[in-house]
Amino acid sequence: MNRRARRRLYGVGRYVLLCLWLVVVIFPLFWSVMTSFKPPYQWFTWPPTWIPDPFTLNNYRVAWFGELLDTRYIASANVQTVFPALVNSVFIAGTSTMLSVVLGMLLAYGVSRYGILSERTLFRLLMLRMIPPIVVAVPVVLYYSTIGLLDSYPGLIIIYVVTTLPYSVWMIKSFIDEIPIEIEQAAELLGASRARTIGDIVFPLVRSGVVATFLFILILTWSEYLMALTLSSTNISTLPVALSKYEGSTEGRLYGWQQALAVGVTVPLIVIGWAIHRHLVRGFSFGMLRR
Amino acid sequence: MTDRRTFLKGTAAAGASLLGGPFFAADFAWAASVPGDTPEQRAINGAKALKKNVDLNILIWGQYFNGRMRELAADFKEKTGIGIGGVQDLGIVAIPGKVMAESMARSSAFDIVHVGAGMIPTLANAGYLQPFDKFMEKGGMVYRSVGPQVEQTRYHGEYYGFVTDGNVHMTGLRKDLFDNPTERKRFEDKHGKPMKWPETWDDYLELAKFFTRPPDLYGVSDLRSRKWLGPIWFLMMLYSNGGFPFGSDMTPTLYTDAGRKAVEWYLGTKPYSTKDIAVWGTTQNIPFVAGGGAFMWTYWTGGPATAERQNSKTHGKWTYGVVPGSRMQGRLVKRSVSDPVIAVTVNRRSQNAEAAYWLCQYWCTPKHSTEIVADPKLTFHDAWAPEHMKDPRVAAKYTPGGIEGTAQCLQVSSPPILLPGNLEFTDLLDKNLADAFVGTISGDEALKKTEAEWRDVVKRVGSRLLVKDLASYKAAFPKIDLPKA
Amino acid sequence: MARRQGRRFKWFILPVVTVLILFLLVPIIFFQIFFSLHQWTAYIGEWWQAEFVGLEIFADVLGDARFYWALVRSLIFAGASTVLCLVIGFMLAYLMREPFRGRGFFYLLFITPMLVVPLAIGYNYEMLLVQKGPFNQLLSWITGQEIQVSWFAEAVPAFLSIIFIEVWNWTPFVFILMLAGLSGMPKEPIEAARVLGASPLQIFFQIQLPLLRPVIVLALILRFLEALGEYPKVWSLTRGGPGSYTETMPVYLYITSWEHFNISKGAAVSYLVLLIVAAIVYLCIRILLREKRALETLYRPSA
Repeated sequence: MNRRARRRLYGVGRYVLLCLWLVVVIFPLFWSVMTSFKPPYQWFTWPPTWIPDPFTLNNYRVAWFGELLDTRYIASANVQTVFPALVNSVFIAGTSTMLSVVLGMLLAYGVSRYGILSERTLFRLLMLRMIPPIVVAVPVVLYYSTIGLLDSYPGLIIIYVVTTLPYSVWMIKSFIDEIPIEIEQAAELLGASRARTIGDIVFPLVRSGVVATFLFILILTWSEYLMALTLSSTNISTLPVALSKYEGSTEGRLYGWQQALAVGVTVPLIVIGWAIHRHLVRGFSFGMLRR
Repeated sequence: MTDRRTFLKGTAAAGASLLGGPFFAADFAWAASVPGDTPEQRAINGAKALKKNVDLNILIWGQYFNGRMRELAADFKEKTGIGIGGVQDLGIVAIPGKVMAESMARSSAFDIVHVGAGMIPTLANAGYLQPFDKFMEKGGMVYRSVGPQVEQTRYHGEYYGFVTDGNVHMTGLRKDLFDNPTERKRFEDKHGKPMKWPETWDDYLELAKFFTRPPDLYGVSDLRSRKWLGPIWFLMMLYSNGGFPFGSDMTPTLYTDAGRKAVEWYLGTKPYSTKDIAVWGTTQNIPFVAGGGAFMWTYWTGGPATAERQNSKTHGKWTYGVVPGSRMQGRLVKRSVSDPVIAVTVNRRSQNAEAAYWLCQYWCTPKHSTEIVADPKLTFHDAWAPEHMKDPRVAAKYTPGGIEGTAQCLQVSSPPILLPGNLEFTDLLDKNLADAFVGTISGDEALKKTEAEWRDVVKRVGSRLLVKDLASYKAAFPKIDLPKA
Repeated sequence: MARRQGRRFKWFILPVVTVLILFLLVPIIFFQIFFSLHQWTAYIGEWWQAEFVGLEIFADVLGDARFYWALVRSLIFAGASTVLCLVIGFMLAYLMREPFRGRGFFYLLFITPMLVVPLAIGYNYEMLLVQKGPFNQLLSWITGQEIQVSWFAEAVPAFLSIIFIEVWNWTPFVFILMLAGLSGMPKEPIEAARVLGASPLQIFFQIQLPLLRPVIVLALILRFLEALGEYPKVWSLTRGGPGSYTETMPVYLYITSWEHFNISKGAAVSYLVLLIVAAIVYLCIRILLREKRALETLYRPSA
């Protein structure tokens, strides 16, 4: 077989394999979206209902707008809208991500330029992230109740910042590492102050990386479930907590509404993830790649 | 004070049973010190007297709250200035853990919590719950149930909550197959006796076996999955055998004749159900049975209500009745189980405990609890009080046959393991039964393992405490063997 | 001058971060130590009244078969899902390392599973993996025979299910890492080898793979540790069932703390889990540092 044919075979083979995994990836997503459009009597059927017929927006109306609808499977409805949870999610995820990135940026700059932390400590910082949240849930509840941070925005935000700080430090550090220190030295020789150097020279160069980091950490804080459930009462309930309410002990899971809510909760992340996908490649190497 | 209270309670209960009415009642109408002709009015006047304008926070599942309960709360707010402000909407499975977290944090974030009565001993012990009795007297509350449901909200002689959703298990079977002459003849030929309503669990299994014709029809479809309250079925069988999970000194008494027979029955449905029943929950089971997949089931009354809907394939084909029982004690005894009985409770540390109580009274009077149960839009509250049985809207929801079956099952309904640490005891039993059902261990081993694990729990929690609590647990049992027709 | 600046910077930012971290960490560590030495069940008395029982609770945990089973399951779960993530992620990255038509499209879709909220994934798969469900139907179509695997009712299929959803969820993470590694690889050694007549297979195993080793090791470690603590997906899919076949460590911990309310046992288990994680982390730090140094000396002799 000559080289050309081999290349073409390789190309076809590549498409086949990639499409296989594509099916694996798409299939659950497809099902989830379809279920969110199904009327209740099609939520669980045999044979399974692939395409809802008729397409209905009722699930979204119930899950997101809390309309009282008389459905044919379970005559039930929910007038509690999830918009407070949405607002909370946006605020908490946004704030904690912002703080995490800012602190991470400062720390990363210090490590990269001044070596304020040893490599060992850096690795240990990364491993801080690896403590499963479930391990610390009970002490956090007791601790926060003692100091009055239960069901408060600062309480949850602090936890999210501390647990995502390792990722933000590592990611941003790998971007800053790529900027030759000579540029900053040149700026200083020309008389720029440290602050100006950082603000006008360094930051624009790492901006895309910082954006990538910001969005990656946003993804982590947005989907976090356990801590939010444990620490929230009426004030700071977030979207993942709201997601868990569509199941009852004697009623089972209300699939259509659940998926309508899940789709709505996930779509922002997908949009954001797709917007930054090019930057994700660069941020993820954690400094293990030689450039 | 205590004497007066005991006296009044005694007369209330006696009065009720003399009237041939429900067996379990708390009727404080004549003790009321707040003016008003009906308990609703007294609730309003009691709340008005507080002269407060406050919005209470409630932890409740949205599917319970957002119908009539919400409307009544809005009503109450108009009339008294006390209403519902913040609502945390959590699925009922997540609520016990959440309430415990609140209790550990000694938090006053919630004023009212809607939680299963099984958690009441645990939470009362933790000091989280407000006892109701003195308010009930003051407000002349009328609180009665067909079976011992109201007793489930009672702990150490005090009421800690009012029931809104009184679940109970009921048996239903396919009338079209049951009445079919060909089937009847075949059964008679095979077993030498006519086919009739299963009186005991042996009959139940026999009937299930007869109607198991895979893959189109299975004999029975009762849940056996981990975390889907399998222990409810086991306890029904255990109780009807005369068994009880603990001895009077809190030694576990599962590995007894009663227990062994019960686990034998429990595991006995395996060949007559679909394979997936080992992991199914309600979500899969109700459509399956409503779609004609099984001949018979014993289920929460809400299940049949769904199966009877207009668009169900088996609409109109069901007949309902009381759950099977056992003759192990020399006579026929039937026991159903009411679990979870969900009640509104008040946080003792709330700053508006009394106000919260008045709202709870307003919700759970006979009149209003009927409205809540009969709510056409939100149907998750199930009937439990005598007034519910007579209401036409409720009858429409369950079908007349269903209502009759419900009433009968309520009369003989018993509690889950109504002790502090209920979740732990139930989870250990659940795990071992589930392991036995999938075949990892045998039924007897499951009982012995559970006993051993329970012994550890009792040792840790303290048998002195638990022995005292056995009284409340036993008080929630029915006093009759069979329902009155 | 730089050093002085460095010190100023250090004392500016480090205290803030240290205080923040310690603010959270110190009390938690205190509580965990306290609870693992004092018997407290959440509904019996207040936590400061709990009695001191020394190492009894640890002994209880170490003697509990359920603990060991949970640990074993977690290790198998984390190990299997990590290895699969690695294999699949690497393969995808390798296939996509060079531009081709539609690469952007594939890339976008491949990273999507990582963006879905984990709790929703569990709920979704519960619908998919039912015996009479779409997944089995799809398999039946593809293979042409009737596939009715009961994914939840038996031990092995249930365990495979949770491994599968973990792989589905997190392969994008490994994929992105590997792709970064492959695209960032220096071209010179590969070119040189090709000129010298090495076969593609030789190039792969003797040049590309060793260069990628640090990234691979890092991906393995990060994924493994996160998988050890995975809770929402397993809980919402199987809740530890059938029986206890999918009761991994986080599920066991959740049940102990939030259903049994046995706070002390939960604390003791947490400590043991943390010890194990710390041991793994310590080992990994050493490996990673060694890898990094090896790489640097190999390619930056002037550094």
